[in-house]
Amino acid sequence: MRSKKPSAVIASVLKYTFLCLGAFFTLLPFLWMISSALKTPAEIIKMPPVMVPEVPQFENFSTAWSAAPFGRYFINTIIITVLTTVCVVITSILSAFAFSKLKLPGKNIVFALFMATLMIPGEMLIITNFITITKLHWIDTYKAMIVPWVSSVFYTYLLAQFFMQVPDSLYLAAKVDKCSDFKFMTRIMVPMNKSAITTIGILNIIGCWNSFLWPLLVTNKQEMRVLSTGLIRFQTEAGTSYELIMAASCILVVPIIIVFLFLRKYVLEGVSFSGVKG
Amino acid sequence: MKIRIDKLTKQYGDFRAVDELSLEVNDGELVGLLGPSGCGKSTTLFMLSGLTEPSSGKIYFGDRDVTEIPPEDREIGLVFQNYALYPHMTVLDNIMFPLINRRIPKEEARKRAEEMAEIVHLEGLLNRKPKALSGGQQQRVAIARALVKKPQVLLLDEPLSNLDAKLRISTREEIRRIQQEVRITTIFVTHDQEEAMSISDRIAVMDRGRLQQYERPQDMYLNPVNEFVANFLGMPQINMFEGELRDEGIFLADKLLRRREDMSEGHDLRNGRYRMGIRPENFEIDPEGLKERALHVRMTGRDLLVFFNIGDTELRLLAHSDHNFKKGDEFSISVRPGQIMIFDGDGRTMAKV
Repeated sequence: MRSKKPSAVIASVLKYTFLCLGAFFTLLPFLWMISSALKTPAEIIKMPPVMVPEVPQFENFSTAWSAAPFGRYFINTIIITVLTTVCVVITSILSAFAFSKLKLPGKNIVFALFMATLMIPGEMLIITNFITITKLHWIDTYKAMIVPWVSSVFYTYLLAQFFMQVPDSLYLAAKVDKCSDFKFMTRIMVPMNKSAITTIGILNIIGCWNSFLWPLLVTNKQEMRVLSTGLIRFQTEAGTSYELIMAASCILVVPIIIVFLFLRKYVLEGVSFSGVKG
Repeated sequence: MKIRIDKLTKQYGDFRAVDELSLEVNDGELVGLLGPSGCGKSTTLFMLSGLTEPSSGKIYFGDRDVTEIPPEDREIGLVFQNYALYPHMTVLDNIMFPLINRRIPKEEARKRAEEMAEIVHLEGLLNRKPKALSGGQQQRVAIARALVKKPQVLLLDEPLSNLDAKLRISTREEIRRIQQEVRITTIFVTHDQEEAMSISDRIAVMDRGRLQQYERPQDMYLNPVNEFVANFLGMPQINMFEGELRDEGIFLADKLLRRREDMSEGHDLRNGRYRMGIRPENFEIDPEGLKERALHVRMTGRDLLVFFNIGDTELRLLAHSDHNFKKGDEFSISVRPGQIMIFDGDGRTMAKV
């Protein structure tokens, strides 16, 4: 083996120590969630806290699962997540394509206005949206949870940046080859930016799955709840069953972890624009 | 297909990128649009393709006025400088793309694409992605894609600029071969004078949006109409200097380059100072000639490029590499007859003496 300078050794020791610490602190909440899910109510509130429960309470999972109609919540969450994500991906592709490649009068001004909305705090939008939804009598409907989120300025911006990197010559070449704008988008732009599109899809799925405040606001009936809001079932006037919340949380992060592991290779695949040199 | 361009102009604000360009290209001809960057040659090409709208002027393909016709209906094949291949499609899909868009049945499209691939020598590479091809192969895919729909006109934008020097020479021969084989009227844009001269039937030299000269390469090289063309064509560049015409003949820094009685033309020129040019290859070793001293010598392979001064004017001459020139050597030279170009105040060629 090649001998290294002492300074290089120290540098890599520091680097890996730092990374390990980072990984540890990132994983800590997860580990805490799992360990809490296996505790008894007494262990949960014990001081100092215990990391490993004495007798793992696996029945917490089945208690949590049967304490609320999680099956229904699952279905609700999936419906909302899938529909919202499909819509967001479609609207983002369409608008990103228009902003990046089409010649439209006033395009840049509209794009700037679009971007300006990113500066408005989300909480302000929530109030306005809530009033609108109430006036439309959409409370306790799927559309209340889907329609406000079918387009995203941020994803549009992100995708437009990717689309702009596709050389204009490809667009012009397609034009000479009798390819319509729509066809160019579906046949060339979308396949070329598969990774970027998958990425925004995954980000949106995670965001949807974890959204809490909005579904809580616009639903009152139990059968319209989603997984995240379903967790408040365990918060009653008599107190909070943290071990059950944690057990339920464990159950509901599983699908999202599976989705991420499954699609990770698309995210990491990297984006390459190689048919074009120069 | 014959092409006629009539007073074509493209204006961006006050700037005239192309200024009243008129040009005719015969059927089956290969024409090079040559000029420095910013001279309007690419703009002209894109106006021919229909992707850029002219400010005024007309373009005719054959007898048809195509000025208002959109690019997809002009029956043109266009090859971009960066080839613009679709990176996620195979070579075959890339070549088939224009046919599929024209609603040609898949089987026939495939057959025609394969035939085209054979003409450009791409057989066996059809299932590769563009990324897995060399620059020259990508170039040929782009040409095949442009030609597969059987266009009437082929337009190439700087087709060789992304290739290395060796590949450039073989690819330009390849372009010429394909063009001859398909017998298609072709216009290509380049800033490389050697490239333009080597494969074009005719060259159109442009400068600042204006057509300078439109001629067969050899005629243009030998008889440039003005100082710009004389300067632009030829490598190494022509020697330009301020010479003086007196009763005895042409002088540079009081040294006689050409006796008045030896001048082949331009006898009616008035005495005075003129811009003059001599190509480096038009000096010859002549024991009777001017004695000069080599300041330094560059070996280029076939030739030696010898730098020397007459007065304050730096000049270069090309000599065959078997001459034994070394730095500091003395030699005697004269200018080959008829090879001193004389330009007027506006840079127009007045005489070659």
